[in-house]
Amino acid sequence: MQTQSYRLQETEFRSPEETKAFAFSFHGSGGTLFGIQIVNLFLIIITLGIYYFWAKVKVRKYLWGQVDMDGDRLSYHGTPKEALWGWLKAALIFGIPFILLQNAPGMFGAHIFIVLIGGLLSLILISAFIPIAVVGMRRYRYSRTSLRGVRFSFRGRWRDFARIFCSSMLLNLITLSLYSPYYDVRKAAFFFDNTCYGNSRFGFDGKGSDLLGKYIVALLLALPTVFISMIWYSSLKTRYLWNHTTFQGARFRSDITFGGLLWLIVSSVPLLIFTLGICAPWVKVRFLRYYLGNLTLTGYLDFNGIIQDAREETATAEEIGDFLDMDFDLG
Amino acid sequence: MIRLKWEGHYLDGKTAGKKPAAVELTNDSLMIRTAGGINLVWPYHEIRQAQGFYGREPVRLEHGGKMPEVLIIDDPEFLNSLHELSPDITRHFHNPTTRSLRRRLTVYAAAGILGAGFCLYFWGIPFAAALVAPRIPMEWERNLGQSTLSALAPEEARCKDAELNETISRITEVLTAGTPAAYPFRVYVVESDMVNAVALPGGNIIIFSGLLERTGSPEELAGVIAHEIQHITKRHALKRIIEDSSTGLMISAVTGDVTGAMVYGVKIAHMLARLRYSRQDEEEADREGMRMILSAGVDPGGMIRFFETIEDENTAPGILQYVSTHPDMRQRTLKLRQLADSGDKPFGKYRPLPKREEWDRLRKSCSGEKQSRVD
Repeated sequence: MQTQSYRLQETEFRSPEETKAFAFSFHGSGGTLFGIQIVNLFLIIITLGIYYFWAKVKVRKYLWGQVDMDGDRLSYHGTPKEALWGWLKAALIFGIPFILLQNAPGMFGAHIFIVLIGGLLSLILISAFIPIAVVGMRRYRYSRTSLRGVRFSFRGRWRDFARIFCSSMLLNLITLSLYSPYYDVRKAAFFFDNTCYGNSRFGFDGKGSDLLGKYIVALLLALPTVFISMIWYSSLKTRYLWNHTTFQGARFRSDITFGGLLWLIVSSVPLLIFTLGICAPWVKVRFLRYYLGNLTLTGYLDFNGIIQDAREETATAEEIGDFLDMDFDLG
Repeated sequence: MIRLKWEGHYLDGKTAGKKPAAVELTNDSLMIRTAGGINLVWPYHEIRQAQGFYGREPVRLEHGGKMPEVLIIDDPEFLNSLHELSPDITRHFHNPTTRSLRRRLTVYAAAGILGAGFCLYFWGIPFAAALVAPRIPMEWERNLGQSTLSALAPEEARCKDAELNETISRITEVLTAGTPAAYPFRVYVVESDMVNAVALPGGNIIIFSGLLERTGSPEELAGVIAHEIQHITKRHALKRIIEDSSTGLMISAVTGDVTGAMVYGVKIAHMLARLRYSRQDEEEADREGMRMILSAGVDPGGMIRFFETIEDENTAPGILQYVSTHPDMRQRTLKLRQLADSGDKPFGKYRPLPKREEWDRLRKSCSGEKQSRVD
């Protein structure tokens, strides 16, 4: 009773216009994306690859522009020039050492022992760069993303993520992956707690123990259900993580369901295989539509109080992630 | 028809607050009046268009430096009016009337990709490989082969029968006598049931005892060695590595911006490319190998007979010939026969190869060792 009256007071205090549900949606079409990629491919070929950076920006500008929050669209501000520059630096500090470590000993006929050491070192190099790339990609992309003219930013440091990443990998190994829900939650907490829109921070209040039981069930059922139980867990986890994410006086809510996700996957995989991947843009659009179409942010937002607070970031880590073939969100 | 007054939203780039705005087109600039009573004049040449290039997308205009002011007009028709009113100074804005042209260009681009891929696959990559392969230092090649040799033919697995090894090196000498040797050829026989032979870059050849056992005469073995020697002198392994990595490079350049799923289709294409290139190599090794046999004066019947033996053992269905590494055996022996017939020397007057009488014992000497040990 008490909480109810308190809530009543709160709603009375704020006018009904201010508290609302902001719905997300994705407007992109597979055909347009396909067209963009075809032209990109053509230009990449005739420029011997240099157009790649322009192509990447073009696709992002399109995809970002199709993400809609209650009538406002995201905007991507990255430029091909900074991507090219970032790529050159990434090649220098990561790509070239990696390729040399992996191939040079074998090519010059070094002893099998040295070849193995080279391979091992290249693996160590990769693992060292994973946290840098994961964090750096977010830092770069968020800094180039705006909504209503105000930039996002990611302020997490890669050292903190490396600590979470390494300890979780170790605990996962020891607990035979039972730690993985805790890792997912720690990761989400790290990502959301360090994400800002203008000068306002996102928040996250999930707990790993909430997911553990369901994870165990999904794991036990994995073999009998040919891993379909993992899709069930994935839908549940996505919902859980979003539902525990807040921004100012508002909370996210994801309504994706096991059935919806299952159908999406079951209908997309054969499509991809039988068209040799040509359908990929349509599949990508379907997934984005589904995930974003089921996302809302409900509560009170003070847009006038959100002040521009953009960060300078370089594209180097972004391009290292490209070398590692990492991707997330919109690509 | 030109419409001058539009509705939009204004963002100042300082906060996330959004204000409704009335927008008016003039000959050289946009007049903006926001709900808060701010009046702005944006000359067209100072405005950048950031969104609204595709159908049903709102038009987003930016003005000013790094964190620009933004004007959003939901109705894409706005662009048409803008272009009609001041066509000369609004060229940097997207013109929706050019979209059908864009669609046509997209189709041309698709055709261009197919054409370019075709050219690259059939001419570009093999040409590049043929161009690069001879320029790679022989030292690298030898190193490359050496590490494979120690993996495939470790010292303890090599056949120790002195007579067999002596005979094989004599056969090799006969084959290479006519031509200046580009590589120091050496043949190793390795104990294994596999009916196979491997040519390593740099001059080493490995023959598995399973294959040796199936040769009916030294001439048949000479055919195999001649074939493998051609793989080495034509630098096929090196070319394959170059072709492989450049196909891989091309594919990763192409798919760099395409989602991961595309990779599956591309992997298949890569595999097919590899098979096709290797089929070409096999055909070349057959052809040049037969030429070598003929110019050495060795009976070409041996090489043909050996391939016939193999043909009888594994008759692959016809459809598979296009996807298998080795060309269809029947076709292969046919071609060899044609080549042999067109050769200068008539049948019957061939140079005898050593140990023809003892061949039955020699061919089994390597696998025989194993048997005697088991016994």
